[in-house]
Amino acid sequence: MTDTTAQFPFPPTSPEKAHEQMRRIREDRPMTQVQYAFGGKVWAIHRHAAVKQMLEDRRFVRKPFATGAMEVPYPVQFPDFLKTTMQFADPPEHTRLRRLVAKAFTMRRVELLREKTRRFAEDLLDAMERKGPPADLVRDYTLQVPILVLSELLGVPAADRDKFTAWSQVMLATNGLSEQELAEHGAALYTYLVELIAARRAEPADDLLSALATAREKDDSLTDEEILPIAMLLLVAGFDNTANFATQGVLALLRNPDQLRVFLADIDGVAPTLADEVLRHGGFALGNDVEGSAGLVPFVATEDVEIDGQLVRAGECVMADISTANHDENAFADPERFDVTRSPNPHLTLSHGLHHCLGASLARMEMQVIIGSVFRRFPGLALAGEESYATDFLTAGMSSLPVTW
Amino acid sequence: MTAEKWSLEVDRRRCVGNGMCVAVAPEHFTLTDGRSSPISAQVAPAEEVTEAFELCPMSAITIRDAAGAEIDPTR
Repeated sequence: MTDTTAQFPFPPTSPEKAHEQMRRIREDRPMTQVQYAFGGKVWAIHRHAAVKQMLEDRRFVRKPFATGAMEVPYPVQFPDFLKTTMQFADPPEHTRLRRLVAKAFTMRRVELLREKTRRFAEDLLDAMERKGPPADLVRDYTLQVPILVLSELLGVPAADRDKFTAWSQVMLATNGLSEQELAEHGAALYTYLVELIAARRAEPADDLLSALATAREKDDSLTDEEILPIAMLLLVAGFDNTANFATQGVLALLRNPDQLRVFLADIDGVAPTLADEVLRHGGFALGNDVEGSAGLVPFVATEDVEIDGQLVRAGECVMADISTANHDENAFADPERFDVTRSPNPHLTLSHGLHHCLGASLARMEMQVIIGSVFRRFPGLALAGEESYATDFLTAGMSSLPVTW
Repeated sequence: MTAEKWSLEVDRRRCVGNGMCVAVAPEHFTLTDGRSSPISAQVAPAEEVTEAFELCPMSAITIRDAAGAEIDPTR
């Protein structure tokens, strides 16, 4: 580092100052070697083009994290069950696992779920309207839609959805559960999924758990020990993250009235670009302090690789610092602007290449429906208090957002 | 059926370089600059091409029949 004012990581600071800091970092160097509390050192890559280059290079792998040969360098510890999933697998193992679930998440298949998602959203908004303002948008709405969509996708029968939703709270950053409740709900969820998989194996339906359960029967390639972590990964990734980005989108619009006006003028037309702009820049658009801290799940270099002039040695770890890369002026015009009509928007929040988010299309569709439906119902939606955040969990997100209308 | 040819296209603006198509149909798709393209634009109908079409996360692969009409071989 030659610019001593361009340190990374950097502590929470205003979005304006964070932009300035990130610009200095990108100008100074392509990456910074960071030391984390868990797993030690990792190169955080800051420039958009360099991040893409790394994500496209198969010499960077994750298997050493899955086998336990190396600990994942990160500010928090990764739960073990995640490390048994495709997120931590390399080809050909990764291909085998992803192939089994990928069909359910393609853009075409996700479009078939849009109407159903809209109905889930409308039903929840009906209930909010009947109860009257104020409401906690997270608890009553943004958290509920993704769990209903996941239940639908996995094939959880309608009669079981209430208990399934309750148990799934163990996957949430902000469940407020005691340690005993966590253990009980976790065990109940696990047992329930095992039983549901057995039932679907005996009598397959047109849902994801049936597809996974019968895939095992066909070529003996998928065991219950593999199906369960996949189901858990879908829950943790598809529930908390989706809800959090959708909530962030609503709050970002409320804090940026000029962009809210653009959105309200053409909700269906703008929803797709809005969703991607929230993924790129939502955290900054809230106006709260932001920090430069971490990025996507790291990789390990299997040999010496040079990226953007920096040598990464075999055995060293690399990580995409997406927050800095998503504001790179070489990839985005006016990167500091929250622009709900931004197009193209090559942000890296859902990663890129081999590990590009399996649920990307689903997440986008859900965000579009969740944010679009609430503003269509309540165009005068307003804040009724301060939002709160969970800070001590992997997917730290918004835990409540009091609103009125 | 045997005389029929499919023409393949990949929408490179939509492609995210996930590589499922290359993994399941390596003779038909290749990644260049991190994005997929068909190795040859005209191919004989093949199961692995259908699987690539079906697995693409961005649904960025288009298959057309000899008359140029879009087809979905999974239906």
